[in-house]
Amino acid sequence: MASSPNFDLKERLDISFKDTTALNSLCRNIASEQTKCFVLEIKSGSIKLYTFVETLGSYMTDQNVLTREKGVTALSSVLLQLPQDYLTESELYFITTFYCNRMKDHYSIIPSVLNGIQATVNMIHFPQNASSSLLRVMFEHVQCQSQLLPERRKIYLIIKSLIETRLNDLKSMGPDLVYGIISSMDGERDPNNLLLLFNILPHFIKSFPLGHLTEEMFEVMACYFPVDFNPSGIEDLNVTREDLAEKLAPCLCAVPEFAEYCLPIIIDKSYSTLRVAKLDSLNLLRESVKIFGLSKIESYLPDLWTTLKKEVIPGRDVEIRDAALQAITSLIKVITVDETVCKNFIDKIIVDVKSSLCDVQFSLYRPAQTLLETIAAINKTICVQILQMVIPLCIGQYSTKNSLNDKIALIETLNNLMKICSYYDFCFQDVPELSWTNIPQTYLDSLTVENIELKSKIFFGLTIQKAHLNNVQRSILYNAICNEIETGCDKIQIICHTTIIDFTTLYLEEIIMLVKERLLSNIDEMEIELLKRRIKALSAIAKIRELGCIILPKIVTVLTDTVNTDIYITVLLNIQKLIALKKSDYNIHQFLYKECHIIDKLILYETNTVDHKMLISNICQLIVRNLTIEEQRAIVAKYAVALDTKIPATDVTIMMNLFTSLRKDIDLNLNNNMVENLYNLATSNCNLNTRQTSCKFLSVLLNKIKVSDLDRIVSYLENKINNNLSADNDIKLKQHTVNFQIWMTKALVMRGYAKSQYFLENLTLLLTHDEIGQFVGKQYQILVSKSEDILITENFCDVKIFYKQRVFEYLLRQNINFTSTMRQNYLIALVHLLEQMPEELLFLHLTELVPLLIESLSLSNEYLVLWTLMSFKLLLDTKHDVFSDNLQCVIPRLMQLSTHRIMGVRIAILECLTHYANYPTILINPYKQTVLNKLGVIIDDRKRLVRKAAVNARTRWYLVGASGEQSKE
Amino acid sequence: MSENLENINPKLYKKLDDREITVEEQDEDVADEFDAREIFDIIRNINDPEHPLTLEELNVVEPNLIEVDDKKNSVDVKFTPTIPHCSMATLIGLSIRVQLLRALPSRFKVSVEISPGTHVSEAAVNKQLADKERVAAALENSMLLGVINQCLALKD
Repeated sequence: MASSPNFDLKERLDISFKDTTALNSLCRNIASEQTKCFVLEIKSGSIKLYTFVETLGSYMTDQNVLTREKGVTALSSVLLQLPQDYLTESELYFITTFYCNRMKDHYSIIPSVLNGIQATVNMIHFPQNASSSLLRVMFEHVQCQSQLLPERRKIYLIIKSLIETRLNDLKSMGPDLVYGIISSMDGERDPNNLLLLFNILPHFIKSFPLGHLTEEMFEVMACYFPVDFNPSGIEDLNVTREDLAEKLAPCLCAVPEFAEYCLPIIIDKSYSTLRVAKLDSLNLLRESVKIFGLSKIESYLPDLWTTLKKEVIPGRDVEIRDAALQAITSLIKVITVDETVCKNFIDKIIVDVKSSLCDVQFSLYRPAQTLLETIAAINKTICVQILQMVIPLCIGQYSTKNSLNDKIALIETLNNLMKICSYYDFCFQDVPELSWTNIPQTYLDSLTVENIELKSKIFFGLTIQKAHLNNVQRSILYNAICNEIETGCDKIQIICHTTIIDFTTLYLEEIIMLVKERLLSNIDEMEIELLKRRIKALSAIAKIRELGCIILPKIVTVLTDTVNTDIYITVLLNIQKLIALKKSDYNIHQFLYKECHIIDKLILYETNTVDHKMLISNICQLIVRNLTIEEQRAIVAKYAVALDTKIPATDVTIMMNLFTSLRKDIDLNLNNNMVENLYNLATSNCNLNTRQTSCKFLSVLLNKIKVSDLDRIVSYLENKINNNLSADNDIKLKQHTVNFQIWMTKALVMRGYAKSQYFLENLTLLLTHDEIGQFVGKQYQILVSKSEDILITENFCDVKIFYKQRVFEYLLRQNINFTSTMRQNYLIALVHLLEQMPEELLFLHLTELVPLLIESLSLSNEYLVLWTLMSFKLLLDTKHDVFSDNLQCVIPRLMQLSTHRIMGVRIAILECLTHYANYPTILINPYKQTVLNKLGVIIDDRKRLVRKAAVNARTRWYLVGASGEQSKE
Repeated sequence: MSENLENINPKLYKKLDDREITVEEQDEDVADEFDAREIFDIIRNINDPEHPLTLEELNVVEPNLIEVDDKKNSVDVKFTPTIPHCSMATLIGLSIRVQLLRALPSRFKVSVEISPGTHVSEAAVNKQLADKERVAAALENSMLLGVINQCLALKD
């Protein structure tokens, strides 16, 4: 090959021209050899580019069009595969001239020519002045819109890369370039090409003077507005209407010169009946005004306001209303540069909406209020201008209206405006025209009202204007708050608590005084009801560090001092609420533990009431959870002895809760004695709570314990369980044992223990047990319970991701292993499990699940039916095919059950029927008359709740297939 | 459409809270009687033909204008048009009637009337609404039925 490369090449080209695929591979070879040449600096002396071009010469000049085309294709392919910096400027100049000439050739050559040009313009050394001549020739000889889709795309890509890289050279073309681009894209229909064009155009329009072609340029893009595009073919799936609309908007408002064409089209399209047209226009308006500027939009202001007003008032469609509000905001922000124009515009708005504001009872009040609030938020001047009009109207109505609802609406308006003012750091009275008002006083006077909603809004309003209340007003407010804490209802009390917390940011000293002198005073000799309210308030505000340091020690002292259980429980409940808070500005748990020694005090407390024990246990758990590892160690050292000795069962529950939330590194030194002790508590204790707590505590231990100890303890427990389950034992004992077994399995499955699958299988096998099978079925859901509060990561437990999915899918797979009499227990377990599973997971398995649910509906177990219906109802909304396919057996069964003895079943049936009414008319219409007849009887059910569900179902079914029925998505 | 509304800015009323579920209602063994509130709950969410508002919000129907006698099987509903010359009064009355026809057991004798003195052509409308033949004929008209069904369709 090296001996006579030229001859060789010619021969190879001859051969490959007869076969297109061979040609392609040859070109690729040549290109790679060229690359090699470049790297080795033409050492090997194989093919060089000019040799190649020379060899191609004969093809290029051939009489036959097809041969010429192949020649050009070969050259273009080689160029496409060369590195972008390979060719020099003069070589490229030569090639460009060659291609320019080729464009005048036969139309079938054009695609290959375009390929070559595309490769050339992407070269780094593409000559500066060649681009304009290239484009000139291209615009003249290649009719873009008569090319096929891929060629059009190439033309756009050529234009794109030239605009991006050869900007200055192109400017010399002047209007010719603009005209060329306009005629190339005029009539383009392909969404992908349009997306490409919309991406280039804003940059182009901004960089090139459009001159007399401005309108043409705008029109060629505006014909796509608003975008109407429904993707149909598979090839378009990656483009959506929203993509196109989003990209088109910046083109239409690229330069201020477009304003005189763009604004009329916006106004015109916003009167369209199409929702998207309105939304697109409003969004375009929002963006365009920023670019057009005041001078361009001034003359359109009245028209724009009329357009926008009709979308805002009455504002039925919330999305359109919000888009319009955003557009107004954007518009006003632009015109604020000229104060008089802006003032006049706002005045016009005010005049137009004033009548709607005059009476709070009418339906246009709210939309008008929303509009003015939005505008007022733009800047302080506008806010003041609006306040001057709105405030007198509001105050006037507030003093004359008698209806509470009206007063509430008015106070809400005032509150909202006040919030805007406080953002700009002033209050109503600071406006000279409004200096006569005394809003704080009006609010304070209204504090005596009875209505809770109004009163809470007033408290809220006073909180907003906290910076503008004087000493006297503040002390009146504090008095009112103290009174409400002592006498008000729950809702107001909570509002008072937040008010106090809010005021601490500005008046910490005053609030501390208030706490010390009012709320904490006489705490020892107070009436019980009053004390309970005070405790509630104090613990609510204790989440502020400065207040907490004063309050918490006092409250914890109440725990030890009080003899009254009622007070004691109140304190505990409130502390529990406080420490359950997700965030606070200091570590309350540590403070309670270290400064108040709350754990010791709680453990010393003696009580026999179970609820109180549980409460104390819970608080201990919550506090220990948030302590450092050293602090947790200290607690273990102090109290762990209790687990070893056989202390009274009731006390042990608190200890167990104390140790539930220990970190993994803390070793409790479990020995067989302890485990046996706990196991006996979990299975044989007579108290349900003790059994439950012990089960949970043991499962926490099993979940967290080191693997080395785990095997030993698990096999020990397994033996114990097998002994208890052996034939001659009491049924109760067996049930307790199974309950423990479930908890143990749960702990092991959660941590992903090696033998967990074995335990899961064992447990599932128990469903076939003739004595306790049903019990296992009902309890099986504990494995994945949603309301889990013990085996959780907050307690430093090991929770493997997807463990619920594992359990659920395992049980679902066991379907085939349960036959005849055993099925009921299996279905009970499955149906109970569904309650606890995330919906997404259920949707994945609908096809296997639904037949099982339908089977459960046909069984006689009433509670199974009820539980099944609950899940069934939830899943019906998916409108999955599996439901439609089973219609003919489900609907008759539902009708049969609709007179069921249990009210809950009847209601669930009716709700299922209501859901079914949303299925495609063609499927359900055959059942319409039967369902309506049956429901006609049930609407006279003796239970009101059933009747209510029946009315819903019946009125919905009447609409099935009737005229006026809303379309079903 | 908004240009042709007869009453462009109607007065709004606050909605009642949902009926509280009592212990008796949850007890399987107690039979609950039909009462005015239950009838009100059936018709409160009917949409106004003109506005995107319910009859309750416009105060067209009120619980205290409904009388029920479960023993004697009678239900008597009075409604108040928003303005005395409201041309939609018949349509609203018809919607209420149809809704009750669908939602109440057939044993009840239902009467739907305009509350006295609130509409200019009160007598005529009442007569139309009381005429079973005319109500039945109206429901044969698919256009009219479509409009009524739209009023009765529950918004989600």
